[in-house]
Amino acid sequence: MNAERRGLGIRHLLVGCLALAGLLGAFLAGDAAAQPEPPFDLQAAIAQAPPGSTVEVPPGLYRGPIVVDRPLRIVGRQGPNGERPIIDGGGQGTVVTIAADGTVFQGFLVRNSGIDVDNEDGGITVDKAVDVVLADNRIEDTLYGIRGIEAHRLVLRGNVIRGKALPVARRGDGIRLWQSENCLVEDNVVEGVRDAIFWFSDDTTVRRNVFRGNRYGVHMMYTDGMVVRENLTEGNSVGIYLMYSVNVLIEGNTFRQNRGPSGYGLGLKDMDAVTVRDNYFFENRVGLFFDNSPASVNIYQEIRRNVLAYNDMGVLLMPAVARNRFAENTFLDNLEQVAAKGGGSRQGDILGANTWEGNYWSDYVGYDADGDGVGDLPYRSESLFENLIDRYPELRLFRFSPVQQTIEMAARAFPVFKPQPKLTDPSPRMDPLLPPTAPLGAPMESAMGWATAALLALAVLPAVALRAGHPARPADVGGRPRSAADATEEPMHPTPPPAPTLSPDEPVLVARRLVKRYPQPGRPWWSDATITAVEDVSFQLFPGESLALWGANGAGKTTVLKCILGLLHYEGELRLNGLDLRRQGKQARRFLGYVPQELAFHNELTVADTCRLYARLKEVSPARIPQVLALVGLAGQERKEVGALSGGMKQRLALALALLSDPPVLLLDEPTSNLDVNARQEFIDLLKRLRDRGKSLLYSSHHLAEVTDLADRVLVMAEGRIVAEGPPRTVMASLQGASGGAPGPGEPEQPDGTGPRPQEVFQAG
Amino acid sequence: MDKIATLAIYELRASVRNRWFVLYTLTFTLLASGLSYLSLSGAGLFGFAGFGRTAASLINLVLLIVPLMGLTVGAMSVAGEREQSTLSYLLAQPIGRGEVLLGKFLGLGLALATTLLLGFGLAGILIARQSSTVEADRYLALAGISLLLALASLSLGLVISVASRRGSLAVGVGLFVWLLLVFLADLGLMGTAVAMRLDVGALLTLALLNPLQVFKIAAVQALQASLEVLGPAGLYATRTFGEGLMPLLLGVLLLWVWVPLGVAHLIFVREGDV
Repeated sequence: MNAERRGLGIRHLLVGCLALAGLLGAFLAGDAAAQPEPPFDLQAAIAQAPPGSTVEVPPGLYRGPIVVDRPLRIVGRQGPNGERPIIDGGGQGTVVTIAADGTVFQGFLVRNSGIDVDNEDGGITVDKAVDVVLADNRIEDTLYGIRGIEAHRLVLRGNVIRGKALPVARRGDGIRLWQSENCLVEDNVVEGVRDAIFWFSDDTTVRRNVFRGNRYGVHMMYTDGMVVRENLTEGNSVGIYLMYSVNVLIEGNTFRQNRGPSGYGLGLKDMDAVTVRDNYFFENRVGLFFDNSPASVNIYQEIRRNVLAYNDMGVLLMPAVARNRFAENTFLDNLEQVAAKGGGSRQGDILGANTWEGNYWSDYVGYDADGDGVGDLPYRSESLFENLIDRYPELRLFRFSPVQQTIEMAARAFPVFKPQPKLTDPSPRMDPLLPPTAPLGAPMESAMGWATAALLALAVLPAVALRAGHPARPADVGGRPRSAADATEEPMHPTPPPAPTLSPDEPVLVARRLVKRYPQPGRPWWSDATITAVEDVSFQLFPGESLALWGANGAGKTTVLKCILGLLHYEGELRLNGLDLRRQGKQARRFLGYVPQELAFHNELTVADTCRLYARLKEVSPARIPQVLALVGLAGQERKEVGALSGGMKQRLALALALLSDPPVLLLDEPTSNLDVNARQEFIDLLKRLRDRGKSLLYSSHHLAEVTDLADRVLVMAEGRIVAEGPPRTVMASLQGASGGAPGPGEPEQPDGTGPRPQEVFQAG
Repeated sequence: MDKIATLAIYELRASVRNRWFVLYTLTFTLLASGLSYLSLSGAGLFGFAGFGRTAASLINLVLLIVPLMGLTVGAMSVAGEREQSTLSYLLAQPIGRGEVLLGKFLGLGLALATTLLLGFGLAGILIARQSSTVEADRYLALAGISLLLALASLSLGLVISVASRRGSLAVGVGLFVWLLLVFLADLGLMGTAVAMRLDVGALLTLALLNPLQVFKIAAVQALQASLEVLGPAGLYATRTFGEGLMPLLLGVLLLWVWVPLGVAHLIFVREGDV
């Protein structure tokens, strides 16, 4: 700034101040208390200042509207903390109007205009004044930002324009130039407005601005010879939309994340002779959109050395767009590199009417054998899915679905489906050729490292959970016997409530008219034919009693046991300890230990792990584990995997598991059928000891020895019914008598004591 | 509750030892990492963006593999144990059937979550090394929605499982359902849309019947914060549901988790015979 002029300005300022001090004092005394600085009547100062002089305005709040009707330099002086003089429109009309040629207006915060759309209320209006400079102002909370009407050679430099917080449809334009030629718009930031729009404003230059979060970053109509250079348009609906103009240069701009239903980075509508070069188009819905451009038949347009990356569509052309030359552009990972709107039957022709040469295509699959940097095979854009979605846009819904690849594979496998190529680039570049300058805008920050760390930490959590679910180390259970003190250290699981005390002559298990029917194997789905596996079976089991279910395979023994275990639906009544097994099965099973015919268990678990799992499921303290293992003679086997146990040991383990909750009743299904003679005898002795301790045993068997040795009473089953009942000796004798010496309904006892392995006839169906 | 947790942990341990599970985990992790690496290899060029193709690859991969994992693992679980008669032994204990089913669901769900977290975690490391532009919260959202999809397919698998006598049959049905959801439903819908000139509303509604499409739309919404990329149907969804879209999609996915699980529970408890 010129020192002499500044001195002049200050002098005028002082004169103005003195002249008005008395007058204003009366009016503004009330305000003066609120304002930190003595008020200064800006409008009066403007009226008093000689044309061409400078009015320097100290920080403070000034009421609008202000009208500048004489050519002045009006400069806002910044306070010690960078505060600017504020001109507040009070929500009425336009805040500052400049009507004098050559005015300079600089360094203000202009805010709070009216919101009348018809009047185009705004921050600063330059009304039919030429050679005006608006610099370094902040314009906030105004409907329109800066308007120029017939404001030729207007310079907008370094202003920051932020619109009122309104829905896009009700916002005004950030910059609006009407019939204002040869203007310069540079280094401004325009945010949260509708458009920056240029009408009939030829030869205007727009450079190094930022347009962010608006409808159209730059909107231009009937404005020939415009130069748009090095701007950043980001997060608008459309970055730059050019219409009905000729000779426009678009160079070195960055178009980023311009999205929305009709989101384009750069849109060209009815344009002629546009040059688009060295621009970056990132993450827009459409990078570059062509609608009838060039509009004239004898004009060719050049699109060169642009980078189109990560857009949904790199380039979108309306049908019949022709005469554009695409050269040296980089098409990188656009979901659709080039799209033709509406598809159409002559697609090849549509895009072929433009020329595509020497572009880089990230989806090119050719090679460069001669090393000249150009692929030896032409690039062809031929995707069946793309053709489909160009023609039927609603099918874009299926994008990213595996069905997309299926369709492409089908097109490749069956050439009849193969579409005509959309376009052909005869000389695709192997490497991108980048613009001389880097893209504008800051890369995003990312906390990706933290995110992945969190993911991996979460992945490890289940492993921790596994350890936690594994509180006792194998050594705790195996090896040394536990003392009572040890046991109390363990978190005690609630032990099951003790069985209701029943008198010895009261049955612990009662079956009344038990019936089980299975669907007839192979019946059609509409049929309800059944076969009866158990028919009208009633019996009682008393405390300390050992009751055998004896019969041939298929007699229904296992079915009875399964009904008691709640594995099958049945008719009739089953009661255990007074609990109805149908309705209170879960509680009742606490008083039940089950030893299956063959321990069907996960062989990879160790004995100790298996015990721990079932102790938890039965809600029994782990302190029980060494006790039951010792009881069945498996002490010292804790670390063995279940799969490595012999048949006899597995059976003992099954018994140990059954005994964990110290149940009054044990249910055993063919308990010794898988054991050799010695093991069988040992096991039966073990069961006898348990019976002598007061356990009730109910077991199925078809081995005579098992019955005569162990049973106090036997129920003989045949074809689902009980055919005989009583002490084993008596029953056997009567059966032998009845059937003429045959051993009974079961198979004859094998000499070695091992019967044929029983099949579960009903279950196998 | 303690019993359910015990069963879940037991199920998780069994899964970790299961070679199928290990295979799925390896496949998913390798593919997720590999795809992220390859699709980001061009991103260093500008230090900008570049997540689009990675996102597309990841969505694609999740759509293919995660339902396959959930359906087959779920289908195998109950039916397989039924076949080995470990199920009847388990049910002979003082445990309710609902507890067994829920324990299985939780355990297998945890195992699936581990697989997904490993895959997304390792792929994330590669992404973080190559590109600073991926927004972490969106990536986490993708992982979370994928987990929902995994649980939904696990639930469907459990329905198949409780209704099947044999493990092989259950896995067969599971594979068919997978094929149906991944390919056949979409192909059929595409054909219908073109042949019947379906309007976008009807197309979207029909698509949302498929949990995979629900996942996909939710994933795109989470990653791109808009559905423009899905064309008119996507815009229609945004216009119609606005802010409620994401809760709606997540709600539908959650329904796909809980409703089949409820159905499986009903079948398992009512059907009776094990």
